[in-house]
Order: sequence, then C-alpha cells, then structure tokens
Amino acid sequence: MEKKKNVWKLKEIILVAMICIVFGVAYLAAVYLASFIATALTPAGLSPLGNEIVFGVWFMAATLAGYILQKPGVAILAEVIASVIEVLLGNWFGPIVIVAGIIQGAGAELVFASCKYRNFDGKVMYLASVGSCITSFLWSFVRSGYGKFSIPFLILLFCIRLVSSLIFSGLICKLIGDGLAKTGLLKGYELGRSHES
Amino acid sequence: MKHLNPGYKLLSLMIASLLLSATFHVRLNLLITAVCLIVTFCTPGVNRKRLLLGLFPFFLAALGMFTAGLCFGAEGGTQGVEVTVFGQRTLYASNLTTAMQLSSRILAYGSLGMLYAFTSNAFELIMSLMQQFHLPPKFAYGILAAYHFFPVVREEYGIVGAALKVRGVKAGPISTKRLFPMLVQAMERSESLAMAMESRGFEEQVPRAVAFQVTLRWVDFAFLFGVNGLIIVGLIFV
Repeated sequence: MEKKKNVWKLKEIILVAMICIVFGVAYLAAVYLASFIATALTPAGLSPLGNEIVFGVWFMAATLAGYILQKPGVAILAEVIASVIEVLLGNWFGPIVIVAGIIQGAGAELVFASCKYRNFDGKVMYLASVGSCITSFLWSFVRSGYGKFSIPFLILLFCIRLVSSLIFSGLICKLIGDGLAKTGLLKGYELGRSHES
Repeated sequence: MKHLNPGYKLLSLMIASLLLSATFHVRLNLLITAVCLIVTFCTPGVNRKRLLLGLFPFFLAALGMFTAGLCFGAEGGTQGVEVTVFGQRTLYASNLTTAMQLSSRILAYGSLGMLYAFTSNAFELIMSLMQQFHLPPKFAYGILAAYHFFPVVREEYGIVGAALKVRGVKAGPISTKRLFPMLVQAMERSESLAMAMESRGFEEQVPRAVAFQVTLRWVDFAFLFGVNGLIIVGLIFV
C-alpha cells in the first residue's frame, strides 16, 4: 500500500470548501424547517428538539470529505472550513461557530484516526457520525448549558441527535460518496481509486 | 467597529463567548446583549432593516430555550412542572432561574455574533486570517473562491428542486435526490476552479505580494483586552 501524503492540494481544498457550500445551502433550507418545528414546540418547552433533528447535517461535510479524500486531518479541516464559511455568510452565532466546528470535526477525526485512515467502510462512517455526535453533545453542555436540563430530557435530546447524525452524516454521506464514485468524477481522489480497483 | 482588524475582532469575540460559557450570569448576559445590540445598531453603515429582521429568529430561539428550561430544568430534583387533571401547570421558582440562565446566554451569544456579522466583511476577514494568523494562501484563496459560489449554489438548489417537481419526484430539503446532482456539480466545478487558478499562475510555495493590506493597530489590542477584561470584571463584580 502506498504511503498517504499529508500535503493539501489546491483542488482538494476547493473540493472540501465546495462540499461545505452545498451542505451550507442545504442546511439553510433545513434550518427553516427546524425553526418551524422549534417554534411549534416552544409552548411545550420542547424547542431544542427542532434543532436536534437537523443536527446531523452539520457533520455531513466532515464525514463526506473524510470519505472522499481519506487522509489525516480532513474531517477536522472540513468542519473548520465549513464554520469559517458560516461566519463569512453571517451566521448570527458568529465567532463561536468556529470553536464548535473544531470540536465536531475532532469527533469524526478521532474515529478515522483510530482506523489509521485505512478502513473507510460503512461501519467506520457510522462510528465517525457517532463520534461527532458525542463531542458536539459535550460541547452543548458548555455552550448551551445542557447541564441545566434534567436527565430524561437530556437522554431524549441525545437520542434524537444520534439518530439524526446516523442518518445524515452516516447513511446519506456513504450513499452519496459511493454514488459519486460510480459516476467516475472522483478518479483523482482516494475514494474513486478504491472503487476502481 | 468596522475599522477594527477582522481577525482580531473574531478572536476577541470568540474569547468573550468562551468566557461567558464558564458561568451562568443572567444580569451580565442581558447587559452584554443590550450593549452589543446598541453598538451594532449605532455603527454607521449597518443594514438596520436586516438587523431588525435578524432579531426575530434570535429572540424566538431564546424563547424556545426559556420554555425548555422552564419545563425540563434539572434544579430542585423534580421536573418542575405539575400538570393537574385539568391541564393547569404549576412552575417552580428554581426552574425560572434555569430558564433565565439558558435564554439569556443565547441572547448574549447571539448579540456577540451579530455584532461581528453586521460590522465585518468576508474578504477582509480572510485577508486578515492570512496576514495576521498565517493561514496558508492556498486555503485563503481556495475558501474565498468557493465562497463566491454561494449565490450560484443557492440558485442551483432551487433549480434542482424545480426539476424534480416537474418530474413528479418528491424530495425533502435535504434528500439525496436533491443533494446528489448538486454535489456532482460541485465536484466538477471545484476541479475546473482549481485548474483555472493554477493555469493563471497561482502557486503555493512562492512569496506573494498582497494588494489589500489589513492593518493591525493598537486599537485592536485595546479591543481584545478591553472587552474580555470588562467581562471578567463583570463576572466577578456584577
């Protein structure tokens, strides 16, 4: 097996940034839906659920970019680029989003790293989603003060976020990645090469 | 506000948000919210109509956290809400505190973010990250190049959606049917974009000259230490 080089090419950076833009647009659309749900749930005190439902979309850039490029640092970098783009677009949570990006990316990165960036099958993709889910949930304790909620409510929030991340950043990213590889567009990248052989 | 160094402003507000994460200080949070919103509103050149529109979802989010804290707060060991047979709800005072803590924090974060978002410019931020924070030029220009495609991609999102509708295919906002064609486009676009940049002489390892210099002045450091110093003082004394 050839040694994987850890140098970033310009086209890889733009690829990751482009993926982030596409998911950024999709996320904006999802947020309208989520805020509608959240508003509807506000009188019942359940509004954080609306946000949790689409939470997995946040990690899609990390897992998809990691899946396509398959090299160290992609997941974390993709999330950082995604968050910088969020800030450029004027996300009103502003600067703190970058911190969140680093933390979420680190979750997926840890999982990819524990497989030494060699194994990128469905199982690892799901695990990476779970990784991001866990680190982001820990971050929610710091940022949104989740420690103030009661335990049963926290479990509910966590389960919804877990399902959301498994579906969006696990299942959908794997399907999209394989689909893209089949089109032959990814010949210049790791995933495309592994599909050829 | 607009003349501060964008990179340092980002750093200052990031540290400020982290400082606020350390504690739950309702009065300080509300104070910061008020100050930030007033400063943003009074900065010349800010799009005030957009700011006011932006406030709406922001307060809605805070309200959502408020009711969530009210109903599902952990304090007092109980749920905090008693629902009688008639559906009447009784709330405990301790949960009101939780609710205030959670929602005031959203307000404080959001107002710090808005202060940043409404007084900064994307291009200047990237230039500042490159010049003051040593972001490699290939990342800086790569991100900027992709960023400028945002309006195109957003339009494309609508077009793909319409195309699916015409064919009678049902697709949700984040369904693979929608995302896939967009990602195919993104892959092709990123390849040609990278090739275009390189063929026009964009090289990675050569010294670069920049046409747009972002300056770093003492005001930026004053802002960094001033804002965070005040928050620390506030956390201790207010």
